[in-house]
Amino acid sequence: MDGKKHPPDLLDSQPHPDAPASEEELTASARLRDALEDPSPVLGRSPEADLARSLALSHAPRDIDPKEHRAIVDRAIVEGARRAKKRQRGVVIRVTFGVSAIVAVAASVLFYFNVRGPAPVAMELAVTRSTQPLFPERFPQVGGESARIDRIAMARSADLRENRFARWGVR
Amino acid sequence: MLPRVTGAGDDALERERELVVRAQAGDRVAVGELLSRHGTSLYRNVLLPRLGSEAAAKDALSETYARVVEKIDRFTWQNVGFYPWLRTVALRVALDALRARKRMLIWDAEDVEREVDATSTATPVDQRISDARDRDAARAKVETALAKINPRYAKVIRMRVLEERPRDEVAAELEVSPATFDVLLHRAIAALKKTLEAMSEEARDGR
Repeated sequence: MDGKKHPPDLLDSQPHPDAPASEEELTASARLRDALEDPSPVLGRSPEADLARSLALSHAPRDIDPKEHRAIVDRAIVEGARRAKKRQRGVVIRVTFGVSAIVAVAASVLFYFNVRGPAPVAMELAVTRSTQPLFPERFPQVGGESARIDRIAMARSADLRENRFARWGVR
Repeated sequence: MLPRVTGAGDDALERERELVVRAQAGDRVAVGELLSRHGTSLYRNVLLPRLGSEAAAKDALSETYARVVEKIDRFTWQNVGFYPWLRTVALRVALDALRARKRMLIWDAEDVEREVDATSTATPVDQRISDARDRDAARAKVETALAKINPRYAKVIRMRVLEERPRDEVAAELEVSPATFDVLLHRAIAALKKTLEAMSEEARDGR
């Protein structure tokens, strides 16, 4: 063994090649032998054989069969095109959703301001006051009560209407 | 045999650029031609050594092609051709496969992760140079690991695994019984596994 070339801790941890084999080692060795001789190996069945094969394929990689390669290309083109279509559809849905959301937010903002309306700068509302200005003429001694009540009602209705218009900002 | 574009002049590059433009416009024949001209090299020099199994490498090749077809509209032409981009996609696919597997192989996920990082900073090179680098890197990795185990174990692995010589023939050359040879090989692989684990840890610490 070349002690200078190898880290001593790594080499020391390895069993001596000629040390007697335990029962466990004999079983594992037979398992590895069978796995390496398996003509159709299955990945993961024997981690040791997988490692050995990966070593061989790293050292001397093989070519792929041209027919098999052609089949892989053909399948991948179909699969790739399907994924691209799906991706584009996803983008369209996201864009549509995004635009709808923006429009909805904008509409709700506009609605909010429209409902509130422009705040009146200074609303001049009619307030409760005397009815005297409605009757500049003198009252007769008898009669005319209903006409006077009607005049008051009409004047107050007009005040009420004007106040509502003022509040709504449409006056 | 090298793909036509490797080491070729401006005509070959121009032809490849035209193929890329057609492929980006949705021409499936052009995509197929691009993949066919580079795929075998990608399989042999990039995917197979890193994934260590023909089945896994074929799956990865298939996934690489599907991603390329899906995202070819994002590819930007550079004067080194299509291969560097294809190789980067393949390395990412290999990285995903190695992360999912968690098995001890000659390459581990962190090795490939470093390679993927390198592709984002290194200048893309001609396919012929890239292939040679990949081949050398794979062989160097094997040789480095073998140099760290007991020379007798390394010899056993070379004869039986790398040279693929029959078990009985190797046992006879080593002057041991076939059963003893089986034990030797088992110990050799176990020693190699331990060494690879230690190398991975060293690389992780040295990051």
